[in-house]
Amino acid sequence: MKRLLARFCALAALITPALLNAFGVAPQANAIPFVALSPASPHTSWSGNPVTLKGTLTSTAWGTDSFTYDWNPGDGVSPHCTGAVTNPYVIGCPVTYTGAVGTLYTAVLTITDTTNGLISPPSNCPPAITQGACYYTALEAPPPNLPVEVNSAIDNGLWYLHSSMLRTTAADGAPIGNWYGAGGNANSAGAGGTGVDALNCAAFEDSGFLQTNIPSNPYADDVRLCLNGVFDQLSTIPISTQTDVTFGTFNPDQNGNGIGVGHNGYPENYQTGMMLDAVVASGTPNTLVTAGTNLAAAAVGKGSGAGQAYLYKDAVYDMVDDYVYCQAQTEYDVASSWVFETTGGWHYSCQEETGDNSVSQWAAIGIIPALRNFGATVPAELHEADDAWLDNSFTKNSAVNGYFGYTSSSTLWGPYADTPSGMVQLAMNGLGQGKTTPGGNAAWDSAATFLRDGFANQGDGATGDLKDYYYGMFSFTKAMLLHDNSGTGLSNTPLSTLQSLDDPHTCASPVPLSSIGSGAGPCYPPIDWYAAQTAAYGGSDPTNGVARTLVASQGGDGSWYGHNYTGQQYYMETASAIIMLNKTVFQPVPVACFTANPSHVASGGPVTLNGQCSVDQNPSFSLVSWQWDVDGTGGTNFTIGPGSPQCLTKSCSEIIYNFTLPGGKSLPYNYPVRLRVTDNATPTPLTADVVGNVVIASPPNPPNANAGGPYNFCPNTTVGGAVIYSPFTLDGSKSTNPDQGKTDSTPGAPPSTIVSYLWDYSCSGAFTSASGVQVNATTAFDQAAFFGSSFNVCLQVTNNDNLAFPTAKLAAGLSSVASAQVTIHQPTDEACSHCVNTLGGSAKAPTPGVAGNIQLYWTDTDTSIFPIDHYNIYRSTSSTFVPFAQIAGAASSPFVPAVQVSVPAGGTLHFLDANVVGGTTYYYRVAPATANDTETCQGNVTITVAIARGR
Amino acid sequence: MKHFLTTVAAVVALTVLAAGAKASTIATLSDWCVNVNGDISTACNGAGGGSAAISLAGFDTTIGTNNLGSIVVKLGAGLAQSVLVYMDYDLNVATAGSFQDYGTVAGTAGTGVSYELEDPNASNIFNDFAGDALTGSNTVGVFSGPPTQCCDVSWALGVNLNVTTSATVTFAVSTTAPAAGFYLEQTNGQDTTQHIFLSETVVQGGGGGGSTVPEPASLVLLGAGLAGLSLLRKRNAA
Repeated sequence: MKRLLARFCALAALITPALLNAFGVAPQANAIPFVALSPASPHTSWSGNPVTLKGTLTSTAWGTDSFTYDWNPGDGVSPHCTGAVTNPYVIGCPVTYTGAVGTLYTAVLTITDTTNGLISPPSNCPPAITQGACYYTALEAPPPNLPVEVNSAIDNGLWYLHSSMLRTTAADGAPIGNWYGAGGNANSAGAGGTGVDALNCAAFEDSGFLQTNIPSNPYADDVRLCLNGVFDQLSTIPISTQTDVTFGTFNPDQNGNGIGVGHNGYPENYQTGMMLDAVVASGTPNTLVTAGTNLAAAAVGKGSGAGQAYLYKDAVYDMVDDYVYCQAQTEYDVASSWVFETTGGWHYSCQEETGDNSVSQWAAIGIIPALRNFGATVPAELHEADDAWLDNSFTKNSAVNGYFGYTSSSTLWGPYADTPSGMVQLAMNGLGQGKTTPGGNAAWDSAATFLRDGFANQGDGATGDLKDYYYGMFSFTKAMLLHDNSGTGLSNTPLSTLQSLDDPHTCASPVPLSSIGSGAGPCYPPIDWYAAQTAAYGGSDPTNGVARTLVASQGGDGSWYGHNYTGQQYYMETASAIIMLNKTVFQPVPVACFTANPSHVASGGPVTLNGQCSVDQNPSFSLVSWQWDVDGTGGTNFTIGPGSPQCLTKSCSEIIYNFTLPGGKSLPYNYPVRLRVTDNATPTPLTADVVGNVVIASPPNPPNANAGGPYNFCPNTTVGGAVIYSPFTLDGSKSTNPDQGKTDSTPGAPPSTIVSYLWDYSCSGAFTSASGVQVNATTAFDQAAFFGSSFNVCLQVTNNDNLAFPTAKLAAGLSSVASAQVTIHQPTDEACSHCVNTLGGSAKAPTPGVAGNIQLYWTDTDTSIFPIDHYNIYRSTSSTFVPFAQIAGAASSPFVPAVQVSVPAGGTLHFLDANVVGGTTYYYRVAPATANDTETCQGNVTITVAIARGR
Repeated sequence: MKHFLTTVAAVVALTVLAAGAKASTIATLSDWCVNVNGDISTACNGAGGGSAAISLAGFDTTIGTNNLGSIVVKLGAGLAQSVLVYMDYDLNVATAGSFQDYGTVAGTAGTGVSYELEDPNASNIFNDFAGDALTGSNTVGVFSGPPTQCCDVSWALGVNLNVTTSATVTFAVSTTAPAAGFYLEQTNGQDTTQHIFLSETVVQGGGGGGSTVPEPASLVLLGAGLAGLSLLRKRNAA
């Protein structure tokens, strides 16, 4: 017996990962999502634009087994990309999709472990695709289309950074990722050193990719690794109370743990600010600093977590303490005794004698989010000393025109490098628009005037052109987004326009502070520093803003380079360009998106605009407001927003508007519409814009397919013996036909109408999955293999305009295709906790003179963690729930308001359906929905019979 | 002195408002009917608006939001007569619907008194009422929330009596509970401060003008300052 046991133990010891793989561990193919929290949201492109399909391989057998890959672009035309996997982190495939606006392509990356023959299982794929990871791309209107071009630029830039990351192990054992060690493109501008790693990490985080995303998201793993790398580059120094001849005694150690934390190399005061940004952008203050990193070892017992565990927020507080401690200071020998004077600002290393605005910008860019987002504090002396430093480095051209220097008022690197550095420090100190420094300088307004007056300059780097020197443009972008003129540095009042105060008496209005001005100089009106575009890009501005400048200068490999003092800065310049394009303040940003239904309409016709496909990439916040500019300019005159009569939902995520051909325009006409979404981020809500078109045209027009959704299905399960959460229905009833009922007056021509609804559950181009305006897809989707996945389904809608308009000589009816995202949740997902599983119904029978009704009752499922806003009610007279109609909610006709959640949550809710016929069996579905009307769980059916009492 | 008979054991002259009763109770009337000696054709929702013997002057017959009130039935002499009412109210229906109430029987029914509380949609309560065959049961006495929502409450109350000369039977629906005696109560399960009460008084020998028995709410005014006392009010023969 003992011998048998010994043999078993010996065998167990031989079961290595490789051996396990031989027994059946399949490789995992990963497709890079465009939106981390919505993996089926398509990457955006346009017809004819070359793109790279982006994927990776995860396998415990990497290094022992061999793998091959197959990228199927999914358009039926482009060739597959195939071959052996040589780098599991970079499996790309170049493809150029050519098709109509709105076309959705589903590409599939399939990986085979040729050693054991196993193939990657499906990941975020529709049911018909049983192997591999799905990658979605949608075609948008071609350039000039700035929002789409920005999306594409960020997409490609992140892939460049991902592809060039060096993945290794820290000396203390933690897995880390960095770029500094990756080769010659890592130089961090004047900063040198490893700050590039932190800035690159922040580029992913600001784009919505967090280490808290699902593990199969490769960028989430990148962030995990690069944050580990950041912590491995930080170390502690002892800090204590400072005694200063000007300020007296003050304590830099605001959290009282006796240490400061800074970069462990040279010049450390650059890098620490970048690292502050990366840690704050994680959005997780209470996460433990990763064990096996340099900082985790150095800060043992110094944290605020359980057992003095060292947390992200501890690292942030100690980095801020370090900056307070390390301000520039001068020593004096007074009566044979050394005294210290804090002169303000920061130089390369701790407590050097003079400030350096290039270094100081990084201190400010790091300290601001630490104060505003993570709750760090600084003594007042920091602001006072830095104000003094700013006055010392400022040059006044006139009362409202000036610039900042480098280590004095002299501009060694050029004023377009140092002036934004001063501005972001002014934001840190709360001395923005309209404020004067202690030295009496209207520093912000002067610097803004200086930059505005030169905003259209061309070339010559930091000496002559802000937009030709991305190091300065980055701090300028941060200064505008982090602007604060409250005097505290803690408010956030971002500025969307750059204003010049020169010659206020002749400048176009609005001109602030008109009581001051030089009375001389050029006159430049305010400009949208981010989105301005010249006529060459369809705009009307005298020069391009930051976004168009960056989009136009991106390299074919997704990188940016050549716009700093050295051409080597591919990685850092790429990261800073991505962060600037995101227009974010150290956190993931929302993504705006809308559909028009119909997309083609006769002049004066109604169109429903639906922005519910917009998402907030930051899981800590949600979108709360949708604003619409429909004045025909595509500008930012948002006349329709929450509370407007055109809104169909509380948040105004959906509106109806009648579009009329503008005077002087001819058909067909692309009528521009801008949507701006706003979230509830603190301290400053974040916004995102998108511009699309409604086509005003004459018949014949294609119908407007609308596949409904987004669909959030929870798997069928049994509660108390009853199946709930069924069925999974897809709804194409919002499809419209702009020519409905019309003909070209040819005798006998039938009126235009939609004649077919064909569904393709794979978006493969074969619309053979189901037919009908509403279809029941329960059998296809309710399978364990799909739980936890997201994919897209497509609907093709066709009208009979070939018959209604015979003079147009159409060969067939006109068609259009739309897609909708389907998510099959895991039964344990938070969203499924909202499913109404208490729905009951009772019939109030008719009496003489009183019609009967059916009353539904259920228990509110709203929670503070995952709040919902209301419930939409659906009804069918078929047990399959097809067809069905919404009888309460935004899409009900006649309109019946949705049922609001109970206050407090968890109460009994009630809905009365008075439109019933005695003796009929009705089926009901109650769908919880967010304020923007996204239904979080489409399920639950109850059966009710309307009965007559017999009196 | 005329013989005094009441199915209420004692009509309490001094009453106090039932604890928790609020004027904000919102009652909605869905159905009602009066059965006098088997005839339901003269005072019934959709069938008749009253008669010389059945006074609806103090009763709100509005289908919908309703102010309640009293139905007064006058009987001539005769043995084995019956008077019954059937009513279907819902409380706070706009926000709670019809199926969130429950019924309560208070006190002990006197001789000749019959009653029934049931769901009006899936029971025989109306037929029982029409056939003077009330079951003396309350099947809607336990409130429950979703998904087995209960209850939609209807109630019927009646009396069988021998009338020597004349009698007056009054059915009072009020938001105020009788202080004592036998009565039916309907309460909203989601908001138990919302409730209504149905009581019945019989005065033998009635026939004069005006109300034969003061309603409890009126008695509150009359009895103010006489707390703790009971007053048996009798009406002398005309």
